[in-house]
Amino acid sequence: MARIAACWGMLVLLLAAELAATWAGLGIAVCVVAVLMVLVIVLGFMQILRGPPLAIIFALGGLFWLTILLALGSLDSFTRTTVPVPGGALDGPALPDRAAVPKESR
Amino acid sequence: MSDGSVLDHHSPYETPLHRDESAIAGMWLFLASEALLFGGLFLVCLVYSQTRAGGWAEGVRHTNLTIGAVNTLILITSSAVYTLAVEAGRRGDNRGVVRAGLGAAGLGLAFLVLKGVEWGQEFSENLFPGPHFALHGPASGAAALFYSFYFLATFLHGMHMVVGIGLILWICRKARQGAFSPAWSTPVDVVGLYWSFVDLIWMLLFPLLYLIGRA
Repeated sequence: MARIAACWGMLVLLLAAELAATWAGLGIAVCVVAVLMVLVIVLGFMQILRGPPLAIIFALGGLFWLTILLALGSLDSFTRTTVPVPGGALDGPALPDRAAVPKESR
Repeated sequence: MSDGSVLDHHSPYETPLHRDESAIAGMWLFLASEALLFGGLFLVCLVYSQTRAGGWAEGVRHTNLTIGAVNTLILITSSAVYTLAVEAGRRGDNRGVVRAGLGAAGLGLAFLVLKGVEWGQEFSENLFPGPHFALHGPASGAAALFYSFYFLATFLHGMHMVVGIGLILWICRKARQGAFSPAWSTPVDVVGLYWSFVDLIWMLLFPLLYLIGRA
């Protein structure tokens, strides 16, 4: 009971901190607080450390593949500002309509 | 074929502990696959909030922060209340499971009702992407992209909430029949993992949908 109340209190405080960080314009702090809230839930409510070893392996495996997904998927857009693509950025003008381009100029 | 031994009773598992740990590990494996499902959505958010930053932030600023924050508080509380049901299940307190389960399900329902009110406001303000989309200007395309993500993510999360509430009500029904004891309350634990995971996903969606563009 005390553990659950402590976790709930921590989450409420972190929510307040998250809103305060938004108000203060601290985007990075918002992200850090969100990760802390996730940790409180995983350790406090889901009690992963009390689970069987296989559950911990599955949780870490999910985290690993999620990291791969996010890292490789966002690699291009996060590096394009430092390594510009010849011919324009992602926010550049739209490509011409393929049907409107004369066949011989394709 | 069976000689009536204790081992046969838990078949195909060797012991009750093996059975219970398999159920817990199985739920974690399922949750890992769910993390990858939502991971695709988070990737979309990560990429477009970077490449279409202006319009994306404009979309974020049009979401209802008050309802979002209240809903976050509701989900935190619901998750905590259901954890009380897990503790009650481990003690074999079936009435405690029913009380806490109904409380958690009721809070989940309150979340969905508030989300419905919020969606209603957004539809009436023409914030659903389409020909009558309310936001105009050079960044309106990216704002529409944000709202596509917003509606898809909240719908997917809402569906998980509906499933979670159904599972909790099932647990309450079993508890009313006196199904759980100190020796066996694994279903209460497994549903608790799912319910906390739905809460966890919202802890990530809330800053993405309501806060980051405002900060």
